[in-house]
Amino acid sequence: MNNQKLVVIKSILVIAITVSVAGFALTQSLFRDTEKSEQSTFVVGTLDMSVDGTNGSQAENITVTNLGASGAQSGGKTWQIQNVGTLPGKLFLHVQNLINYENGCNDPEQVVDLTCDDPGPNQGELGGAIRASVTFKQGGAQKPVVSSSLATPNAVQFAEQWEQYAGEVIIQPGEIAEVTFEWSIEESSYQNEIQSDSVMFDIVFDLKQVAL
Amino acid sequence: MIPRSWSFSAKLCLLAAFVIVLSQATDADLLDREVISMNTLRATTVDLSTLDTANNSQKSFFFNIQGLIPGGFQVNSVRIKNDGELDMMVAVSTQDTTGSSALCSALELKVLKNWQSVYDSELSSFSYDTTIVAGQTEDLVFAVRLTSPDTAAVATTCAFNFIVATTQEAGGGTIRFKDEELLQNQVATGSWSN
Repeated sequence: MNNQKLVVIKSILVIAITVSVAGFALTQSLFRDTEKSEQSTFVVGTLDMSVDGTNGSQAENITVTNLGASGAQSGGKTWQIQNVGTLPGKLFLHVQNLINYENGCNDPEQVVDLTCDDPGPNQGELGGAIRASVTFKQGGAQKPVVSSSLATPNAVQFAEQWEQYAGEVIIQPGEIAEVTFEWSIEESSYQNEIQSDSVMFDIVFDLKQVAL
Repeated sequence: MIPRSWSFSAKLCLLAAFVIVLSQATDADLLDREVISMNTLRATTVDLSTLDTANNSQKSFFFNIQGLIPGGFQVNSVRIKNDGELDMMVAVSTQDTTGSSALCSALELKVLKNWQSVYDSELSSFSYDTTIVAGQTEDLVFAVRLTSPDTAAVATTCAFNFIVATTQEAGGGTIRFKDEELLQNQVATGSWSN
């Protein structure tokens, strides 16, 4: 019984191979033309961006040390992102290492703040009182993209809102886009609880290759 | 029926096909990353302290005068230190006066800064403004005296505070940080007759 089945299978295989070979041979075109491309080369493209300050100055980070010196304060930085590679890229922005430090408490802060470690990472209240916004400009008008506080849990908001509101930010080779990061603190948003607090963070720009 | 080696081969082919399909979705794209690092926003500080002029120890109790009589006085001093990072307007005043109204209204106060008088009048109306640079101090000498012989103040007491507080209105805006220190005082009179 088993031998019979094996014979059947072998027969099917022989027939299939024979039909394949015959079919391949019989369907070959007899006409032939050959063109040769001389000196073809493969070149690997580059993906590279530069981040500078406005007017080509060196990119600076945001450093403010006197929040609370007057009631309401605000500021910001604008960076020029240029695609200096040979391939188009899609721009992404996110914030990482966002840490709110307590930096201890002086006498007036101790009255209203129960967390007073020094440096006390993520015990500080300053970030929650600061409003941050990111706008993006590529050719036309500035486009608001991100609006969030700088409270530690809100770090993910920057990437999420960039994805949601910036759209497909494709920067072609040689093209320049501008990203502005602004911060503000309102008179009504804080009291002694933020004294000596600090918030630190990195702003990350990613340029990812897009399919041509 | 089908040899075991064939079954194994079929499974291997399926696995290979899966890997090939998967590998097409994990193409290696180029990426460039630039980081603006160490962005820092920091709040400043506002902090006052009242110190003993002899040894810089904390001071919260000031005058404690017993048996004061007309013509009597007592002198005390305080060092106000700006421990914050901002130059601050500081207001010193008398507040929360309680006790005998006859005595409280009869008490007089003289305040000296650098041995120059900056106030010389009724204690209950005392108010003095000054600016203290961050990290610096200002020494004030206080003299409380009773000149009135009015017997209504005989054997009475008057309690009051000197409040040393930062001024929040500055430069057209409101500084939300604030601090204040209390210097507690008590005066008790003795007996006299006209």
